[in-house]
Amino acid sequence: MDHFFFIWCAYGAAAIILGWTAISPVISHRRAIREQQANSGAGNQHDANA
Amino acid sequence: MLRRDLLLAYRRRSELLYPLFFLLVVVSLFPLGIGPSPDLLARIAPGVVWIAALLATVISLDNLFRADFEDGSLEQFILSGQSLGSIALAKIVAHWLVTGLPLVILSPLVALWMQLPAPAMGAMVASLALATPILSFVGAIGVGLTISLRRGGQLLSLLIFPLYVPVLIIATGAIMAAADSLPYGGFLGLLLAGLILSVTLAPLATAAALRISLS
Amino acid sequence: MTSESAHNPAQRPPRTNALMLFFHHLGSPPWFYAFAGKCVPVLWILFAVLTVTGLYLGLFKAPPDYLQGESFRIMYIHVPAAWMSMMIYAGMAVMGFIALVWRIRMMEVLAMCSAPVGAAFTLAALISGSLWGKPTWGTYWVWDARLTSELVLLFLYLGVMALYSAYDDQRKGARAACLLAVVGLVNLPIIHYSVKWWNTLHQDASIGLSGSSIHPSMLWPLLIMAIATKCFYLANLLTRARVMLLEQDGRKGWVRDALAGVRG
Repeated sequence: MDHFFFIWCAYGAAAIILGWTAISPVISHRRAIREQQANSGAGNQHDANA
Repeated sequence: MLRRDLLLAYRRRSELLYPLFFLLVVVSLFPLGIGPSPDLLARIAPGVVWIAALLATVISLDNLFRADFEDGSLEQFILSGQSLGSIALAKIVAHWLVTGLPLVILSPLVALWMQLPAPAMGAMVASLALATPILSFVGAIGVGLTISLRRGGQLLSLLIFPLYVPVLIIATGAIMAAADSLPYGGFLGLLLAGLILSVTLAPLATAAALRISLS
Repeated sequence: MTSESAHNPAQRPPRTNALMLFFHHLGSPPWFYAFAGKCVPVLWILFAVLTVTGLYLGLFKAPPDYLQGESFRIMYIHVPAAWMSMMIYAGMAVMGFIALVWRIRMMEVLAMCSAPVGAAFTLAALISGSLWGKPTWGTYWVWDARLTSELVLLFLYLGVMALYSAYDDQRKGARAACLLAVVGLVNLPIIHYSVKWWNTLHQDASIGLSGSSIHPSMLWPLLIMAIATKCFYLANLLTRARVMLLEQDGRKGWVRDALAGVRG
């Protein structure tokens, strides 16, 4: 197999690994923000009712 | 403390045989799995004996603090204000006397099974004698970190195997050099240095780990 | 500084040490959250620019290697990744040490967030190293000093991550994992040298780059990629740290204030 195949595989694998490492906290971040806002929305309602 | 632990261990002496049986069983698996060819066995003998010793030690490490942890005496030690480091040192020494030393004594038998050539026998016993304490000392740190976890034992093996890698490499290096009739004193010297390092540093780290686990 | 202002309330200290103030601020979660939020986009842009430049120079402009032909180009991801894998471990252990000795929570957070990034770089180094090995040595895996060290390093990282996640109490788990990281760092040189020695004992010296010196056109892309990976690490670390702070401090006031105007 010619060398370019291995070069592509190596960079592709690195891109996948590092890409996933980069993206997963971004997704968690968005989810955490959504959860926080949902919680504080519910909390405010409780405060209003109490 | 040392006497206390040895006394406790003596009372449970049947349990202490488990790691030794494990060693014997694991080593005998190799000829059964690979074939009885003496040359092949002799070549892999140092590694096999040492790997079996590593595994047996990891299994036995759980005994190190488990009993004291479960009945609350570990907390008492910490609260008592005594030097946790020296308590750890005493317990580790007791542990080695009870598990590592029998390994060393049993090793010639195991080496015989693996067709280890006679010149290497001395190196093997010496390497085990010097390095099994290192395994106990370094392993104690791992035990300290995982003692409060439910699946602590399994995690323990994963944690300490990377730390055992240098010991394995140098110890088997010594035995293989001896098998080729090459000088192996340097390897043993390295093991001795490692032993001194672990005896001085590991109890401190173990004490810190126990404090974290029981905080 | 406090005692000075107690004696001379009307007089400020002659020179406020901006660096000390900066580090002091970093220890406060709300300040860190806001500051990191501003840094991250800048870091990603820097990373993108450097990576494009570095890879262009490395993959297209640099001449083929005398001995290895084109496959040496894998070096431009393998070597920076390996450098980062070791640097991040050292950094993580130093942060862990500071966290344990001075009980600084932000250091715990940063250390724990560094671990997955370091592990990712280690994995990338292993895979790229293995794929570099196939055209060079003819086999996908070889127990040479660097790959074996990287493998043990990966196990060290996984150990830290596993220990941290095994604890229910996150702060306790972070402290335990920090101690493990420090112990691992003490062992790391020992592991390195013993593996290197073991390798020369059992095998011929591994093949590196051709010649004893690297041609400048091969060197520049490497240095650029090295800086690019640092930007990646910082951007990723700060993002992860922000997430961890949100998760841990969910009930605290500063979180609500910080997220007041933010879209989900």
